[in-house]
Amino acid sequence: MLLDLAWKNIWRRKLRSLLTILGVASAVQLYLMVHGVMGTYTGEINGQVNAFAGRIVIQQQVESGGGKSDLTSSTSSLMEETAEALLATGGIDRAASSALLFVPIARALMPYIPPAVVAVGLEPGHEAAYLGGLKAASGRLTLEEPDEVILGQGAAEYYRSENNGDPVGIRSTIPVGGRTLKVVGILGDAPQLFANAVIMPLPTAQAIFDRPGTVTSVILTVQNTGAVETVKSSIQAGFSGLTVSTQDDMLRSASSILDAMNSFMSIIETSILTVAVIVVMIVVIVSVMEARREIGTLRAVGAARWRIFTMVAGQSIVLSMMGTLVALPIALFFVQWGMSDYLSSVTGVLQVWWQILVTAVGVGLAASILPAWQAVRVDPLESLRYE
Amino acid sequence: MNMIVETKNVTKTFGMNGIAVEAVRGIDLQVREGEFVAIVGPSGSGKSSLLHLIGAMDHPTSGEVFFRERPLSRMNDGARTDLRAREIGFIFQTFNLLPMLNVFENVEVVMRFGGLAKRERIQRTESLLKTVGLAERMRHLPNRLSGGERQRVAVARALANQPALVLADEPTGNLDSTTGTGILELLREICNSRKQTVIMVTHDFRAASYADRVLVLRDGRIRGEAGLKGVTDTHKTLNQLLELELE
Amino acid sequence: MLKFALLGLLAQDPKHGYDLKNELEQALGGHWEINFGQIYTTLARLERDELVRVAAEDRDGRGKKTYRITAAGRKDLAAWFEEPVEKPRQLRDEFFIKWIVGKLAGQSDPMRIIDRQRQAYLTQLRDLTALTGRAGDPNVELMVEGAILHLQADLRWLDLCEERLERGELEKPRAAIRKE
Repeated sequence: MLLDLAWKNIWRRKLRSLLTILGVASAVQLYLMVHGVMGTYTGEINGQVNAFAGRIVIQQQVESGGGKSDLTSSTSSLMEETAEALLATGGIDRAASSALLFVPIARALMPYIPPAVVAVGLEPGHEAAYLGGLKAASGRLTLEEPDEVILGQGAAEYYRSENNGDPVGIRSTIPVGGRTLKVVGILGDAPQLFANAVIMPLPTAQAIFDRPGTVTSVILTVQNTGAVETVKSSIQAGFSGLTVSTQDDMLRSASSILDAMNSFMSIIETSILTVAVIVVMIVVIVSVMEARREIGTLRAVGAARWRIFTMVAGQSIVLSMMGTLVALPIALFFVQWGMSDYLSSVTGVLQVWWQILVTAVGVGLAASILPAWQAVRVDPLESLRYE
Repeated sequence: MNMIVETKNVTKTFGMNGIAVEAVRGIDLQVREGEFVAIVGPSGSGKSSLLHLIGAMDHPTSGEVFFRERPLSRMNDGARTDLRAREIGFIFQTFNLLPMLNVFENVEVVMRFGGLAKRERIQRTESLLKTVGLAERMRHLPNRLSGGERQRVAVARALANQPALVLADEPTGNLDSTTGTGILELLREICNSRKQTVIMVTHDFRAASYADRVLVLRDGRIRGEAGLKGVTDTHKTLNQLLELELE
Repeated sequence: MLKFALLGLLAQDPKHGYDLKNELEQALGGHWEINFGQIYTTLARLERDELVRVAAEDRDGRGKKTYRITAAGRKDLAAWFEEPVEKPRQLRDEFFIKWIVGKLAGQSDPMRIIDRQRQAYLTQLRDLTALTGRAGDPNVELMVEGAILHLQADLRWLDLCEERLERGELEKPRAAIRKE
């Protein structure tokens, strides 16, 4: 093996190698960002869908355009009477079913992502329709008085600025639409859909947001999970013009969106990695061109072709790995400082260290194929060329 | 005595700007084990081309080169590379040390091609560098050495895998005469005490006079041959010379 | 040549014939044994020409004379030092004659003459290069180097003979400078 020669070739041209490493680093860093955003997004959507196991969400879209998976769509509108009728459907667990009113308080950062903060009105006593399966970090997850409110962690953070910068906890009060509500519970870890929720009694929400007699959706929990499709068919038979989504439907629509996003993102990711490959390749090709006489000498004194290959491939893999190494702290820096909402999954990406290693080695190897091929074909007689 | 190298009617034609140049025109050459042969000729006589054919670095246009009765044309690239690594040591006119490696590493690296274990490589490199008088400069880079010192490193490198055959292409061509003499004495020593065969190409008769046998090459053909084996009596030689000068 | 060597040695102070032989041999690195007879005939000739004279003779009368240089001797020596050496270094005359005669007689193969001569030159060259650095005296060393350079020139000249011979150029007469 001639890996030490590869290393020495890198050291020989310090400035050039440094620039290459920085080039690779910025490409890899960008790759991690894109990968992180995509990971965060996928995790979010899957989390939402999973939270709706055994439940059916019924909406009535007033305008077209709202995505089917947008469970908190505030453009849906149902009359309370219809909601009552739906809640009377057979085979459902009435206690864990409720009519709901979703109203955004702060806008979403990206389309298809739940609003940053959303007010959720639900029928007291039926909190399980929305919060079933979730745990409280503190306080309780039931609403007993009209001016009580339960906050997700994201929402609590949002109201911090209204609370003189102090953390919002139980017994804090928050102002919502001119009314002051008392916080009685904070949600534990939950998908963003829940973490950003400001949950209050339905009548309170209808009053604050001036939506009397209407709700945006109804969530039904079936008694027997296997009967979801039966319940869905009976609803579709009894009511017309309603969007009825089971977990399977949500999964289908979610994965069709994710697939489109994924193929788009992978084009970007591939392009970024191609840039890294080309940067390394150019530098290694130049260094092979400069070293033809030395390679010829090595061949003349008995270096086999595979050794020449290890020298060139080694040089390019080391460059790519060093670039990656420089990119990691930069990526972590961005995650830590201010972009955690988008990039929360980058830390997860980084934890799968072998994936990064494989990517770095892959970039190096891909970059080395052409120059290594050129180097391997250098004739021993080139050792005699004058410079 | 066994032949280490034999060529049979070897020719080499190069295409240069569309004109065919015959560098080697039918050479029959036999070199015995342990011989020191010098091939002398002016530049363009085809002597370097012949050396590259013998050293498995180039393919003849016609004819055959045998290394210990093995025809080189029947060997694939791997076998030829292996031959260059283990059985042939090459000394270049322009030294051809690797600039990023220090003296020690330049010698050690070729031992890997010969398949030596690390401990032996270290030991042997140190002893070779002592032989060529560079034990003190092992950690220096080539660009800090004089021409003569560089060529000494190259000689050590050529001996690294204890090859049966050492090929030297104008080894003193880039050196002043005193330094050149040192290198030639080293080559003579290799042949005498290590029983290695040396084939040297040169345009310098003085350098050639270190050999056992001198072949004169011109226009790609062997034109003459002189054997120089025999005992030299230093005192007698000087006496004759002085007699001549002072009569 | 020996004449000036002896005059040179006597220029410093008077010496015995025996001292002269020793000093001369030492100056040449001890590689050359000079014949005593040669020294005495030369001294006798110098005495006859009044370039040296006998300064003292050992009492036992067995011919152990001490020689001293004369004013004429000094003058001669000084003149010799002043003059450059006119005669070119020895040409390899005999080889050239062999070459010409061989051609005239149509007997020998000129290529063989060249080959054999080259062998001889190379052997001499080998012997001389073996001497470099071992002659013991730096001045003698210089002489060896000179001889080597001459041999190299001779070898080149042989190459030239061979090349001209091969091209058949030696058969064609050339326009030459003729005596009017």
